[in-house]
Amino acid sequence: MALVLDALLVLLLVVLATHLMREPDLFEAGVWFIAFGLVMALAWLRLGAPDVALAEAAIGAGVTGALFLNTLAEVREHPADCGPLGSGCSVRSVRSPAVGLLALALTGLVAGVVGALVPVATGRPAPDFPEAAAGNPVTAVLLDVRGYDTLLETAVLLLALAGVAAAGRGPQGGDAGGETAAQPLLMGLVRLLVPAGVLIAGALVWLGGKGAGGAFQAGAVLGGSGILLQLTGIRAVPPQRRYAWVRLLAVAGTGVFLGVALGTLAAGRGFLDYPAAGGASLVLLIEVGAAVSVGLLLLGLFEGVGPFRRSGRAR
Amino acid sequence: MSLTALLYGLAGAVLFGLGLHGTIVRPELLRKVLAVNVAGSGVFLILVAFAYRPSGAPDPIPHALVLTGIVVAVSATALALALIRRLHEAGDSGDQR
Repeated sequence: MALVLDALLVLLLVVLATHLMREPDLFEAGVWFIAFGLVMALAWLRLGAPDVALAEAAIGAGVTGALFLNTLAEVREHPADCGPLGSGCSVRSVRSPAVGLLALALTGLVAGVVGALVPVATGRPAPDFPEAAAGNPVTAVLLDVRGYDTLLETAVLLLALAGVAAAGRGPQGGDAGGETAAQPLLMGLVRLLVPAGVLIAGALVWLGGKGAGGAFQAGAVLGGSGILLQLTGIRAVPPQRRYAWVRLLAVAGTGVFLGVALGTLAAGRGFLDYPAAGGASLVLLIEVGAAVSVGLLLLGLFEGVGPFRRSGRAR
Repeated sequence: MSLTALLYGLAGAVLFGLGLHGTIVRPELLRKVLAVNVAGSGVFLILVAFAYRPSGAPDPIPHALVLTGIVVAVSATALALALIRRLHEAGDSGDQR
């Protein structure tokens, strides 16, 4: 019975993926992409990965979809948007059957590897980390066993924001003009969702120690709340461009992480080698800093890819 | 031998192939971004399928890998979108694409 559900879910995933790439209207393709991400979240749940499901829903579907649609708002009339078959483009579409054969061959190769390795992988017992600094095994791996990778991951987000700022005029922040302020439904929704989002983010950080959750999921919920605020034109989050303290907060996640790492080094232990007694508290400290930073960074990325704010121009 | 894990792993392979095909074939840059994300999701599906255990808790290391992968994917997507927007700006003034 469960296998039937899984088979239907997989079929839905493949259909959504095919549809979103063939959809002629880019806006609809973006919406289908968000739907695809949400169904992926269901697949993660079926595979026993609730942390990944939370991250996929918040970051993979939510923030990526929002980024895409925001870019679309600016780029819509671009001549490169020349229809799904590329008929009006000066960039020629690579439509030889060789590409289809290549993709098919690679898919077959990967499928063969998967088929050979899945019995081997699922036969092994899962590794256990009883002395790690968190009860949730994924959080334990992220922030203790492989903490170094997560430290670099926060730096990657920072790099992305630096690149986005360098590519355009950078995160603007500010109001979208008078048009959105007149939408009472959106304002009512924001009044409900944003405080709930802040609470949920805090809960995710706290619960991530023992159950599903964690800093990145919380940061994505915070970032999503910030994006919602941006859309209404309420300047609730000060623009990063203008205020240094906001930029400092955005960097603070990586900073706190690095500080803890250097602190353990200075205390005579290894880099990121938490003491047995205070390990859980250090992990919580890192996660709080990371959540706030990730929220601000994702908001900065959203602002950076969107339309430039010209006076009076509403989206 | 877990049928669930095999099913999702094969689905991941199919999504990867679909995404790869879309990245090469579709000429619009925004569509390529979407296709790369679909291919990435396929790879994540394969990783988490390897982590599945029919009895007992799943292997947390691929889960952590995929979590990191999702965050890095959004960073790369944001950078790609910002560059596409910059290209759009440049295209407006008559430069070649």
